[in-house]
Amino acid sequence: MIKNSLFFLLLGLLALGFWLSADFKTIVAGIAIFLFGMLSLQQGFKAFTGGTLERILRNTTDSTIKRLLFGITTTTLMQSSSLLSVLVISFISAGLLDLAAGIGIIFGANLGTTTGAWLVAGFGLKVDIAGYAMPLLVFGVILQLTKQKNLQGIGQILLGLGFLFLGIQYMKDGFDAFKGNIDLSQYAMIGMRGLLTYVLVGIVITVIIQASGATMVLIIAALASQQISYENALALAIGSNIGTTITAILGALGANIKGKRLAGAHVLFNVFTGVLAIVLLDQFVWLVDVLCHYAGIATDDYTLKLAMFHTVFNLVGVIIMLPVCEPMARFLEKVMQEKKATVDLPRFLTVSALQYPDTAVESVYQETRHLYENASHIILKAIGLHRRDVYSEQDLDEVINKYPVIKDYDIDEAYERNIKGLYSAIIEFVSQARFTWEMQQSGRLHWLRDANLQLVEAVKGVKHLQKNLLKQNRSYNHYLVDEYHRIRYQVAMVIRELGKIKNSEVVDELPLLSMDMLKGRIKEQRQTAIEIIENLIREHKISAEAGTSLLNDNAYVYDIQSNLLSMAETVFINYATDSVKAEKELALTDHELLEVLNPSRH
Amino acid sequence: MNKIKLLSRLQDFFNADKKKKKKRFEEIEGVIKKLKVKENKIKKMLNACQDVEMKKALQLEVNIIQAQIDKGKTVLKDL
Repeated sequence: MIKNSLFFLLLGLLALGFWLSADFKTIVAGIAIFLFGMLSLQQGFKAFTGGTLERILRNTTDSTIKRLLFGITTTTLMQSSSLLSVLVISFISAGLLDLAAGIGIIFGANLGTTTGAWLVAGFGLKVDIAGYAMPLLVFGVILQLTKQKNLQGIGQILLGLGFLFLGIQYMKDGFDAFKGNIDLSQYAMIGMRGLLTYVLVGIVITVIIQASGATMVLIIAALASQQISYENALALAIGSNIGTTITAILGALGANIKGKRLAGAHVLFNVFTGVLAIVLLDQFVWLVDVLCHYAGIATDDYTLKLAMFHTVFNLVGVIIMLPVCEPMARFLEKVMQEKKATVDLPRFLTVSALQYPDTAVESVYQETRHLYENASHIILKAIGLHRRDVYSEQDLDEVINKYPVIKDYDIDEAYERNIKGLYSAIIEFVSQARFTWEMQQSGRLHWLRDANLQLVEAVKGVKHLQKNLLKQNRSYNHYLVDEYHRIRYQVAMVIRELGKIKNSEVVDELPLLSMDMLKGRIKEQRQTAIEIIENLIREHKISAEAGTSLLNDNAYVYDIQSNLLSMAETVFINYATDSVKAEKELALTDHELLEVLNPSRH
Repeated sequence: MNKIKLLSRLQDFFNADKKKKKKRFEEIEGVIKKLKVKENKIKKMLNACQDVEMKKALQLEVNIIQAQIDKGKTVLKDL
């Protein structure tokens, strides 16, 4: 909500700025074109990351210097550290690179981004850069139209460079024109107050733009047109260095723990160098003057001096932080620990329960019911339904119509979290217990173990079902949609009926014999489904491919239903009661059920 | 313990199997009775039902209950 409001406020402010000042419009357009250029450049380099970049990365990570150089070179070429960060995170995640090595590369990348300031200050502002942009754009577009991937990549890189140059020119022109109308230099501030204020401004601008390279170009363009003072430009550069960590933080939000640690290293480094530059600003300015003198840079060439400052304080940061890469990695690994997925643990299986046969059986029985709760939840989620609706009195068709769209549900993750641990614990418990006791309890445990296996099979069945269910649920063919609606109905129906049996709502209505009804229903549903699908194929209402998928999916449904019913017969029926003992004599065998279903065939 | 009581106990001991059978008979009979109640309930629903698919499902339930009752009656006959 707040994020959206801020976004629209920013758009409103920009629109107001465009209306009030044409020069402001030119500057912001320059930033937008520059950012677009950066994106194009990254896209272009991505075309080559299918092997070359990875191969170089693999071969250049055996020493600290190589890692640093790799970071510097790659970022200099791409003018952005984002793509490199993604690549390094993927390498760390795959175990091909350790965190300390990754940190080394990221330090190098930080140093590499400072080359942008040199290029803009030394080349961009001194020549008609837009003149170079035009041919680059033309060649870029032509190469983009070719069919070869590599040429397309080169085209994208040229386009990126062209837009970068064009963006720089726009920013430069904007500030030059701005100078005639408004003098921003009147807001120049001196002393610590000025330093901290401009550091803050630098942070804010970079957080908004989310690219320190673009902020640096903006600062250099403003400095070149004398809209800001040299001292304030230094503070803005420090601010942009700190502000760029927001990109790393935002990127890490969606990354795994390894990506987060790398982002942590990035933040630590940039904040440290920023603080160092603030504290030792006078010393850095002196050092920059000395270095510029030796490099032959004029004392009044403030844009190049700013580029030198940017490089120097980052370089000092790298020199100080590089030896502590390893401890930093250890620190980050200690502080930022992977959150273990909350795995559902057994509630009833205890060592003491193993001591007595009856308590052991009761524990496994209770735990199996616990597993059923988790399994039925996963099965219903996978078919896009909720337990509260399925267990309600509401008509099942209405319940399914209430959720016409099935959301993608990560069954593997749910299985790991809610099934695997419990199932393993039950199997381990049963294997420790079953051979030590008398026959009766061992037999009961054997049946319970099979019931657990049937539950797991049912969950695996729904995983097979999910793929087509997600795909065909939104099909334009309403016959297919109807058939998948039927599939959802059949699965939900069994779970609803088992819910009634489990909660002993139908004790008086003969639970064991009620299972016969369910068995009969699922057999009949299957027969009906096959007939319907065959008719749909015959009448060309669905394709043969879709029809065979439906037949397979109906087989999965039948397996899910059968597994759940077999499990329920073991777990939900209390065979100790006299009534159930009598029911057992009346329960129909499979053969007898088929006779009821197909009387003519028998 | 008087003689009558003693004789009654001896009779119980020798007729234990018969008693068990009787109990089983009564229980199965009870289940059949419940099944008949259930059958009538479903038949009423069947008569009131308009939905074709639902009717089919209810008819299947009636048929299954009928088969269970028949099986129960056969068991009772054999006892």
